[in-house]
Amino acid sequence: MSNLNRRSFLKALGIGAGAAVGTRLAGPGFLGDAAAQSADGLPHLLLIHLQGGYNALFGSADSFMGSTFAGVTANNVLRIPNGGPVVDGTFSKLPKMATDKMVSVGVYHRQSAHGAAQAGGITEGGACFPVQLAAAMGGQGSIKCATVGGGAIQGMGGTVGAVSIQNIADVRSTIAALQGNDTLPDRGISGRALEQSQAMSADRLGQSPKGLEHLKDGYDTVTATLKKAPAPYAFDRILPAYGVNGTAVNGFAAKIAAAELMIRSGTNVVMALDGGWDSHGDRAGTNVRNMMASRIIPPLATFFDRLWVNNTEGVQRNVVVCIMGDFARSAPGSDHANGTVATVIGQRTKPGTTGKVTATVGFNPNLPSGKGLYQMLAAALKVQSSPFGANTAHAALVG
Amino acid sequence: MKLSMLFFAVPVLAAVVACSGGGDQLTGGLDPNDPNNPNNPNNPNNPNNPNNPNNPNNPTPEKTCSETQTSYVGLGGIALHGTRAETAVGLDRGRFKPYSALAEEYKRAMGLATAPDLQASAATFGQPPARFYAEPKASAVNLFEAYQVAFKLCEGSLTGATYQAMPTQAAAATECATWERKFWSRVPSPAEIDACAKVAVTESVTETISTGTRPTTPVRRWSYACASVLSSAGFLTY
Repeated sequence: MSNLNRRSFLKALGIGAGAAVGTRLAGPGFLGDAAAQSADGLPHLLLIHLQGGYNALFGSADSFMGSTFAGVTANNVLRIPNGGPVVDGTFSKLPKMATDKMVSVGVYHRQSAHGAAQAGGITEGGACFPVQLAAAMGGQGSIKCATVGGGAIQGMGGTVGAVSIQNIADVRSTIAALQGNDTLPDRGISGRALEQSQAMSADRLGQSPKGLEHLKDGYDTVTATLKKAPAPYAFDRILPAYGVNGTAVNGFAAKIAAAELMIRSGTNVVMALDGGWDSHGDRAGTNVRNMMASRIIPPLATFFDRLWVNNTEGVQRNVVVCIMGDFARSAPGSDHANGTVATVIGQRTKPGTTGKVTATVGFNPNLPSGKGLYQMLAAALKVQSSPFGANTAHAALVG
Repeated sequence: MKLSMLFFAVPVLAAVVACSGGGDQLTGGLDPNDPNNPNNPNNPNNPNNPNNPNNPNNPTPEKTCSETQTSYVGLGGIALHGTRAETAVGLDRGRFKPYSALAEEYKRAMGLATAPDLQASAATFGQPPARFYAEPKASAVNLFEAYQVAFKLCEGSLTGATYQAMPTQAAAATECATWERKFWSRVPSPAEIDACAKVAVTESVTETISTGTRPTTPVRRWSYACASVLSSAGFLTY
């Protein structure tokens, strides 16, 4: 056991990726997905959840203009043109093509405890919206719903059809599964062998139908992945673009790089969680602005640049990005509000807002909870049969 | 009566007498479908009735959580256990082995001299940060990683003459049974042996590489099968 070190794996990765691009990828389209193809391109959703909270100063900045809360001035906001929301100025570092499509979506879940609020944003009656959405989007990707870099929020989990959330913890091993290379065990044989591993596991899986559900889902997904032709994209170019060294997905930039990897491999819904947003006492919003500017926006700008502005992949994609948190922060102490204002950017979003809050971070009482947000996201992604129903509350935000 | 007739009549009468009891005599004198017949298996008082709680052959069902728990009522007058999930006892005890245990587990199961260095796989297997604990979960990617790690370990350790020859069904069944007994610490079923042997004998004949295909070497065919056993729940869970 001397070969399992990082250097050899990275070397193998480089050789493999080069070989993949050069020679072996003429097979049937891992990505050429007719099922989910629409005029807008293949739909994908990147969900960024800021654990702890997402201050409404980001999506409803004008609510606090002249207030002592959130430190909003005329100089630190961005007015989205064509009737869009007034948002925090840190977003101005994103490509204009993206900010021009920015909308603010009100989510009134009426919960002010972290766990309940998280669940209120992504569940109803036990069904996990991201998994439901990923299943409804169809497509050919074997990993339809993924979380990058691990972590969990309340309500996240479950299986819909054959779709469950698969964690992407390391880019190297993910690329190996997607593409393989000559130094690794053969992908096809590995897939068939893992099918037999699953068969050997039948008794134990049967004894723990819930406790080992993740193992069953893992076998189902990996065998499906390895049956696919190697993914035709030079994935090794992704990490350098984000300035990421190493292949472990453990920082926000690495998470967004991994999100790009998964989207290009056909994943429908990718979740990236970021902690440290329970910003009690941050009355002027200084800390959250700094975190947004230094940690969230730079990789997100790269993501938009690579997938929206300068996408050289040759595959049309309809990538929607949604940023939200447990809840907004309440005034004046930056504590827990009972709803949140999500920021959504998509090719089909139409500038506007349903998330404008009062100066004391009060929400429109007629706003729906997380289900309304997912009705809107499904519409923005042009999902044919939305499991959430029609997008009524936020209809004006999707063109 | 002639004597010959008497000789004939005695056994006939004896037979008639022997068979002249009530029609339900063999069933205790009652209709076998009579619910009061103690031998009727549907009689709730029949000790052999599987639904009879006093049936000595009926194993006592384990008590459920709600039957054994102690009730605590909180300050708000709400039972603290009110929302506790109810499930069958003994089910769902399987857990995925954590990264911290894997290296020693590979060493133990495979009889290696030293534990393999799995540091490069730490992130994939979900190694939690120092002083934190996270319940490990399987995923498509870490199962693939587990398979690759196992393949390399098998390839490096399968050095005997057996592994220099192409696997046959008989040889594969023997080796697979040995691996499964060793890696899982239990005797495998015939179906489990067959699943492993199938990998060696039929699923790994040809490998695909960037320049086309190539026949798989014997040791790699054995390694594919060996890795399939190490990537099953028998090894990866406890």
